[in-house]
Amino acid sequence: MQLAYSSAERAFLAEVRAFLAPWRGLGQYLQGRDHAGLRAFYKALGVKNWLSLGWPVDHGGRGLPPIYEFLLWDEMAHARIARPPLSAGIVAKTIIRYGTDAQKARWLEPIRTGELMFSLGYSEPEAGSDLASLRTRAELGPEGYRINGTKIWSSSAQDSDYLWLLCRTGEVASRAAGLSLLIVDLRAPGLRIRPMAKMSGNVFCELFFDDVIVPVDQRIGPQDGAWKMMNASLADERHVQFPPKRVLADYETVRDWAMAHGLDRDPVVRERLAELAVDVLECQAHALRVLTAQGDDVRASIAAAANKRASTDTIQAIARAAMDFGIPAALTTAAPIEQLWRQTLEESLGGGTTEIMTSIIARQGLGLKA
Amino acid sequence: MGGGARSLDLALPPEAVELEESVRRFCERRLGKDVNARRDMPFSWELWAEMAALGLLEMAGTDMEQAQLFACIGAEQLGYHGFPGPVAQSIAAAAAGLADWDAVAAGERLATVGAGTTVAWAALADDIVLITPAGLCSGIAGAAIDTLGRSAVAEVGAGAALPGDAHTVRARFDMALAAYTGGAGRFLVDIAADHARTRRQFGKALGEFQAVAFPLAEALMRLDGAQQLARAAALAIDAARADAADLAAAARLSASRAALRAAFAAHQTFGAYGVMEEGPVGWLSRRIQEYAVLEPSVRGIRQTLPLQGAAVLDPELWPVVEET
Ligand SMILES: Cc1cc2nc3c(=O)[nH]c(=O)nc-3n(C[C@H](O)[C@H](O)[C@H](O)COP(=O)(O)OP(=O)(O)OC[C@H]3O[C@@H](n4cnc5c(N)ncnc54)[C@H](O)[C@@H]3O)c2cc1C
Repeated sequence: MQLAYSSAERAFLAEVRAFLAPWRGLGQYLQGRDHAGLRAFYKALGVKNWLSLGWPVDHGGRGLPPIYEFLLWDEMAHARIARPPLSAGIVAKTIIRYGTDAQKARWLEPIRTGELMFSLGYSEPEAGSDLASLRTRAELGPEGYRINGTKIWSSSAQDSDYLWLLCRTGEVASRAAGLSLLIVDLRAPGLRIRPMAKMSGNVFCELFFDDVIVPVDQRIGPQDGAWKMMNASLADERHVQFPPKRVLADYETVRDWAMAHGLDRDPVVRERLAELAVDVLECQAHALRVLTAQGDDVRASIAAAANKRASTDTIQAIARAAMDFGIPAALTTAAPIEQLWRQTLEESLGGGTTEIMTSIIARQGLGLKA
Repeated sequence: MGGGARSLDLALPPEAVELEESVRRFCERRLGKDVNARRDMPFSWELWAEMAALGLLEMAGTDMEQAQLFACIGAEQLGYHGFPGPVAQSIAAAAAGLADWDAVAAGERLATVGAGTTVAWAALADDIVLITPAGLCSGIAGAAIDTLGRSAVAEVGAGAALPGDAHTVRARFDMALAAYTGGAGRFLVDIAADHARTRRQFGKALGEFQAVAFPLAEALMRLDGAQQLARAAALAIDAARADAADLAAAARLSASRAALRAAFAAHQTFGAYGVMEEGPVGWLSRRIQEYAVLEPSVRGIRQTLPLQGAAVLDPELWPVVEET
C-alpha cells in the first residue's frame, strides 16, 4: 500500500488552485443557474486544455490518468465553483470510444474548447430507476431518425445546446437491448422544453418530442447498442461522480457557521461535529477506493456505489445536524444552512438513487439478490 | 375477559370524532379533496376565519372537560392538511390572558406564540405572545424574515407583561405543535404510500421494494407513537397533571423526529418529483423542519427534558374511573 502523490500531480494541484482563485465567487456548484458565467468558466478551462485532461492525446486531450481529473473537479467542488460538464465527460468519452472519424472531427473540438453544452436525456415520466423500460421512440426513415416521446428531469436543458438522448430503436420488450444514443439539437423543430424549478433553486426540464428529426450521423455507436456504451462511459466517469471535497465543503460550512454562533462550545454540538468529521473522512476513504479500483470493474462499481451512498448520506446528515443544533439563524434564506437542507434532498436521487446504489453493493459486494 | 367500561381506552369520545370529521371535511372542501394535489397555500384571513368558525380555538380557551384533547384532535387534522397559519400557536395563546382573546377565537385577530427573537407568523399576527424565563410578555414585530418554512417569521422584541401562566402556555404550545407536526408527517407518509402503491418500476409497484416500504413503515410507527403521546399530553393538561408540560414537551420531540423521518422518506419515495419546487412534499416538509427549530425549539426540549420516562402508563398519575 502506498498513499503518495507524484510531484507532477502536486504541481498540477497548485496550478489548479491558482487558476481557480479568481473564479471562487462563481458559486455554480450548488446553484448552477448562471449559465453565462458557467459557459465563460468552461471556456477558460478549455483554453487550459483542462476539459480534456483524460482524453487521448491524438484526440486533442492531455492523456493524463484519472487522478488529474479528480484533483481538478475535487477542488472545484470544494470551492463550489462548478460541476464537470457532461459534454467533456460522458459525451466526449463515448464519442472517443465509439464515434466515427467524422463524428470525432465534428464534436470533440468544440467540446474541448468549452463551446458546446450538453444535457442528459435519459429519464422519462414512466422510466426512472428502471431506465431500460423507456419508450421515447426513434424511427429510422429517409430523412433520419424521427423522435416521438417525452423526457423528464434533464438538468439545465433550457440553457444547453444539445441533448444526449437515450431512445428506443428496438421493440419495447427488447428493454436494454433496443436502445440507441443520439445527439439532438435542442433548437430542433418539434421539440418543446418545459423548465421546472427544483427545491434547490436549480432547474430541470421536461422535453416533448413531436416528430423531431435527427440526422443519422448524430447516432453515436451502433443502433440498439447504447447500453454497453452507457456502462462504459459510467465507468469512465466514476472518479468524478461525487467528489469528497463537496462533502468537506458542506462540513466546513456547517462547522464554521456553528462556530460563528458559538454553538461549538455546546458539548452535544461538539460531539455531533466530531462524528460528522469522521463521516467526512470515510467519504475520502471511499473516494480513495474508487480511484484505486480503476481497471477492476466489479470492485470499481461497488466502490463507486459506496462512495455515492456514503457521500449523500453524509451531506444530508450534515445539513440536518445543523438544523438539529436548533437556532433560528439556520432557517433564514440569508444563511447557507437552509440552502444545504434543500439542496441535499436531491443528491440521494440524481446520478443513481440511494436505494439503487445500496442494491449494487448488496448484489455485487455480497452476492445477494437484492 | 372483563366487560364494562375499560379504564384504558384509546377510542376518542364521539364529540371529538365529530370535531375531527368536521375539520377534515372543512379542509377537503376549502383546500381541495385530492390530497395528492395539495400544495402550499398562503395564509388567508378568509380561510382563517372559516376555520375559527368551527369553534376549535374558542374551545381551546375554555375549561370544558377534555378541551385540550379536542384542541389536539383539531390540530392533528389541520396539520394533516397543512392548514396555513398559527394553528398550534393560537391554541397555546388561549391561555395567555390576551385582552382580545374573543376576537382571536373568532378568527378576527391573529395571535401567535414563540420565544427568543424570531417567531413564526409574527409578520402577520396582531397579538404576539413571548414565553420568557420571567413569564409571558407581548411581542413587538420587527422586520419579516424569509425562512425555509415560509411561516411568516418576523423578528420580535419584548413588550409588556401578559397575565397568563407561562407554564400552561408552554405546555399547550408543545402539545398542539406535536399534534400539528405529527399530522403533517402522517400526511406525507400517506401520500408517499399512495405513490408507492401506484407507481411502477421494474414491473412492480414501488411499495413492493422493501427499501421503499420500510422507511415509510418506520415513519408510520413513530408517528403512531407520537400521536398517542400528544393525545396523552392533552389529557394530562386537561387533568391539570403537574408533569403535563413535560409530557407535552416529550410529545413534541417525538412528533418532530417522526415527522422529519416521514418527510425525508417521502421526498425519497417520490424520486425526482419529490424534490420539485411545486412537488407534493417540500411545501410541508419545510414547515415541519422550521417548527422544530423555532423557539421554544426541539433542541431546547432535549436540553431540559427531565430524564425519567414512564409518565404515560403510571396509574398514580391519572384520574380514577369507576367500573360499570
Ligand atoms: C437533481 C437531479 C438531477 C437529475 N438530472 C437528470 C438529467 O440530467 N437527465 C436525466 O435523464 N435524468 C436526470 N435525473 C433523473 C434521475 O435519474 C431519476 O430521478 C432517477 O433515476 C430516479 O428515477 P425517478 O425519479 O423516476 O424515481 P423512481 O424510479 O420512481 O423511484 C422512486 C423511489 O423508489 C426507489 N426505487 C425504485 N426502484 C427501486 C428498486 N428496484 N429497489 C429499491 N428502491 C427502488 C428509488 O430509489 C426512489 O427512492 C435527475 C434527478 C435529480 C434528482
